[in-house]
This record gives sequence, C-alpha cells and structure tokens, in this order.
Amino acid sequence: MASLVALVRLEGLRRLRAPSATALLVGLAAALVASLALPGEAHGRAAAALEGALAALAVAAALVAAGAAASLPADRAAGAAAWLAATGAPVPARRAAPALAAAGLAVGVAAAGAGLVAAIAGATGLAVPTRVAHPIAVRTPTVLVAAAPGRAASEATLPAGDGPFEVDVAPRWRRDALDAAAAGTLRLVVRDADGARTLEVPARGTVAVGEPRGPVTLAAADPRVDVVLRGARRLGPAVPPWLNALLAGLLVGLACACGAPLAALLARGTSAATAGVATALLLLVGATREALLGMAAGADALAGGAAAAAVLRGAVALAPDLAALAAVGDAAAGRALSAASFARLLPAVAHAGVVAALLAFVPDRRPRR
Amino acid sequence: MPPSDADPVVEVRDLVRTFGRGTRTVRAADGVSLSLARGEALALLGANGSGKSTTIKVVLGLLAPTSGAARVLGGPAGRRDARARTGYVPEEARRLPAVRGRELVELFAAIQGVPRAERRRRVDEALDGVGLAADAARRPVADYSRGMARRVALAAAVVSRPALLVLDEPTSGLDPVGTEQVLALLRGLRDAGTSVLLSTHERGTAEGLCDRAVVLGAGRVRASGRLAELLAGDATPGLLALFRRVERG
Repeated sequence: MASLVALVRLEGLRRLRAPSATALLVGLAAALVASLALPGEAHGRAAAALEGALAALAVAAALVAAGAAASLPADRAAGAAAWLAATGAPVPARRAAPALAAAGLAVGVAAAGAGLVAAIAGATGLAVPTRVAHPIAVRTPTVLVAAAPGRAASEATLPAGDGPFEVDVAPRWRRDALDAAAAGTLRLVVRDADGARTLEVPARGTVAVGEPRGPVTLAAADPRVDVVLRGARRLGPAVPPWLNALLAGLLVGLACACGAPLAALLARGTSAATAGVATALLLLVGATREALLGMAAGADALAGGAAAAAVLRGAVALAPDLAALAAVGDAAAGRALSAASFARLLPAVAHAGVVAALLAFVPDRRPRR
Repeated sequence: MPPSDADPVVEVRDLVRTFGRGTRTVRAADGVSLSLARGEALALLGANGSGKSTTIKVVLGLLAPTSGAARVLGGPAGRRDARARTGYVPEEARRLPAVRGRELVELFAAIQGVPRAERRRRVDEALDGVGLAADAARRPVADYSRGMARRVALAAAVVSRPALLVLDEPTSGLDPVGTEQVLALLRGLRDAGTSVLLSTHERGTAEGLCDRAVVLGAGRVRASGRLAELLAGDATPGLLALFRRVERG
C-alpha cells in the first residue's frame, strides 16, 4: 500500500509540474470567466453561467483523465519505467498509479473549479436558486393523447403533495400536424381541485406547473400533437446554491475520472497521443450515449442502416456510461443534486473497475532490450 | 529453506539472452556465469555491447533469460522480495526530472518499505552520505548536473539499506572529489555486508571498490578473478587497453 501511495504521489507531482498543467489551468480559467460573462437575464443568465462553467470543467477534467495515457510511454522513453520496475513496488501498483493519479487530479480540478465558480457566482449575484427535487413516479413514457373523433383521450394523474411541481415533456406530432410543429409550443391541460387551465409550454423541455391542490391530471390539449410525459417532480425546500454547484463539479470530476484507467490501458498498446484522443472520444460517447442510442434506433429503421446502428451501439458499449452527467442540467435548472444523481455513476465506476483490473493484472509483453 | 550467509547473493549460471529472430538474432549474453557473495563487490568490465547491461537487467529481473538461470537473494531473479532488497542506480539518473531530489529519495524509501517513522531520518542520512546539500535536494532533478543526478540516484538506492546494490557506471560524470566520496560510501556499505555489483569503464572505480571482476566481450566471459591479477596478468589483454581508451576520453 505504501508503494501505491508513493507512486500515485509521484505521478501527481509530475503531472502538476508538467508545462501542460499550466496551459490547462490558464485555458480553464479563461473558459470559466467566459462562461460567467455569458449574456442573458437574471435566472437565465445564472443558469447559463453555471452550465457553461460545468461544461468547461468537464472538458478540463476529461483532458486530465485522458492524460493518464502519457505516463507509460513517457516512462518507457526516459527509462523511468525500468528504474521503477527494478524496485519492490508490486506490478499492479506500478500500472495502476498513473490512472489513480489522473483520476484524483480530474476530481480535484473539477471540484476546485466548481468551488471557485460557486464563490464567484455568489459574489456577483449569479447563483442559481436551488431546491430539493422529489421525483414523482411516472410510467415512462406516458403518452398524453387528446380526444378526437374515433379516438379516446389518454391522461395521466399525479398524486397530491405539497410544493410546486414540474414536468418534463416532449412532443409527438401526428401526421397532419406540420403547422403545430412549426409553432414550437405544446398546449397542456392541467386539472386539479381548483379547476382546469391550459398551459402553453416549450415543445421539448421542462415546465413548472405551479402548486396544484390535490391530485393533478395532465392532458394533451391539441389532437394533432401527443405529449410524451418523460418525468415529473415536486420541488421541496431551498438548498444553498454553492453546495449544489460544488456537488455538480464533484460529479463531473468523478464521471470524467472514470476514463483514466481506460487511457492508461490503451497506452499499453499504442502511443500516448492515440490513447489520449481515443479516451477523450470514448468519454464524449459515454456522455452522449442516450442520443447515440436514439440515433442507432433511427438508423435501424433505414434500409442499410444496420451497420451504422451497430457501429454506434459498439462505441456506446465500449465507453463508460456517463448518463449521470445529465445532472449538470439539473443543477443549472435549480434542482438539487441527490444521492440518486451520484448513484447513476455506478455503471461508469464499474466500467472503470473492470478496466483497472485489466490494466493491473493482465500480463505485459515480455520486456525487450 | 531460507538462504544462509554462505549462499551467493547473486548467482548467474550459463546465462543466454538473445534478441531478434532468425538471421537477425543477437546473442547479447552467451553463456555468462558469475557469482557474488555477501559483502563482496564485483565489477563487470567490458566495452559497449559486451553484455554488461543485459546481465545487469537479468539480475534485476527486467529481462528474462532465454536460457540459463539467475538467482538473487535466494530466489529467481525478479521476485518482488528480492527487488525490495535491491538498490539500483541506472547509468542515466535523470529519468524522473520533474521530481525534486529529496522527493525522489523519499519516494524510493516508501516504495522499498522503509517504515514511515524512520523515513525522514533515513532520507537525511542517504542525502548526507552522497554529499548532496539540503538546498540542492530541494531543486528538481531536471536542474541537476549529471554528477548530482547520479548522487541523488545513489541516495535513492541506498536509503532502504539494501542487501544488494546494482550500479551501472556509478561514478560516470562525477568529479574526483565526488568520485572518492561515492566510493567511500560504497566501501562503507560493502564493509557493512551489502553486496555490490557494478559495471564500469573506469579503472579507478573498479580498483577503489572491487575485489573481483568479470570481463565480458561479445556476450561471453573473457576472464574472471581477482581484479589485481586481471590487471597485472596477460589473460585479459583488452582490459588495460579498454581502460586506457576510456581514460584518454
């Protein structure tokens, strides 16, 4: 264990003192300042600033994690690998140390950056007001259909509770609804104990429904457009915005850190540059996996699209599942991150664990001259 | 059965190590045998390409023998417990340039199992032993001269008080004062029971430290025995010529 700690410290020191570390920090600082200066009004500006800052931190953390690819090739070239191999350090510790150091630095960069962003945002009035979000169980996807000749209405009822609630919606246009699609909004009927009202809501996104009394029924108002109900939640007490920004940064860092073992493993068989770029791409694939899987499903429906779908699904299968990064959107929208947000990292952590085991225990080629 | 003091610390028997395949096969070590007792210093002498580095790498477990055997500290070369009791000074010591001198020695102390409570004292002793001043030890190895880097690498090798020291050109790049300082340290370690295996081109280093030598040429043992006899006799006509070439620069 002492060997592993010493080797991780060595890797950390080398990375922090590398010229690329300075360049990365300067670039990150510029990106954070730019994101805090994004135009907009009040809440919208604060949300955009936080989202932009977290995106910049994600890029920086991903680069740090992918940098784990640099250690082994550099050590081989400089002879440090042989020097360390002649010590009593266990082989798995020597192999895992660069990945662990890069993972730790990725988390550190993202969390420290988020802390800085939270402090600046608080001081400049750009903090995003944040509340605890309690998810409401919705059978997914629930499709709301307006009544029409020959077709019964389909509605959803959400249970009663305290506090305002929000729903996430997406449209599903019927064949004769091109003019409705062009309008870019949906009409949603909300009924509670006080009566019914119709909301004009963005065609795709989240809408605040207010504080209804008793159970609330949601219905589509336009027979040309069905409404897919993707999620719903009640908002609870307020939480400090700085805490949420810090947690979001930590989550971003942890997600990106899951790529570090992959970078180190790839570097065993290829150059540092190739391994680093491949890792960055796989992290991008992992972060956009839902959209890519949706594209694969679409490609399946096209003639000759099966190969494209297989490629997309193969890339997604290789990449760590970073769907947890969707929590960045939650943070920007003022929803407090919870243990569930971090639990969504578990597949990526498991991926990193398997890759780290391959890295540590699969024998290397026989050493050459 | 645990090894006794009488057992060789290093024993290499009929070592063959080849590189490449088919017609391009190179026999870097071709039937090398040697042994090193506890508290003994043995010099590996020979020109470039003679097989010194290959033999050292096999002893350190960095290369596997193609045939033959190498045993170190009672077990096959490369075993973890043997590596933990071996200190190694590579020829080029600026291999971790971003690290400060003291950090490097602390790192090796931790890796080689020096207890945390003793680490600071042992690091101080090792740095003192190689004559590296405290302010110099706070600078990155990248800023060191070749001689300073060699001293700090030597400190890193001895900080764990190893049973075996393997040194590749240990005094190359050192000034005469530094050379004598390092040799004095190595003599002290040898006299305290540490076995020393070194490769060198420098006659003064070999004579100042080693009792015996093995002369290698083209991967084979050309001569072996007491160093004074090898230098005096005509069994190794190339040896004196080698030293003369190196001394002329």
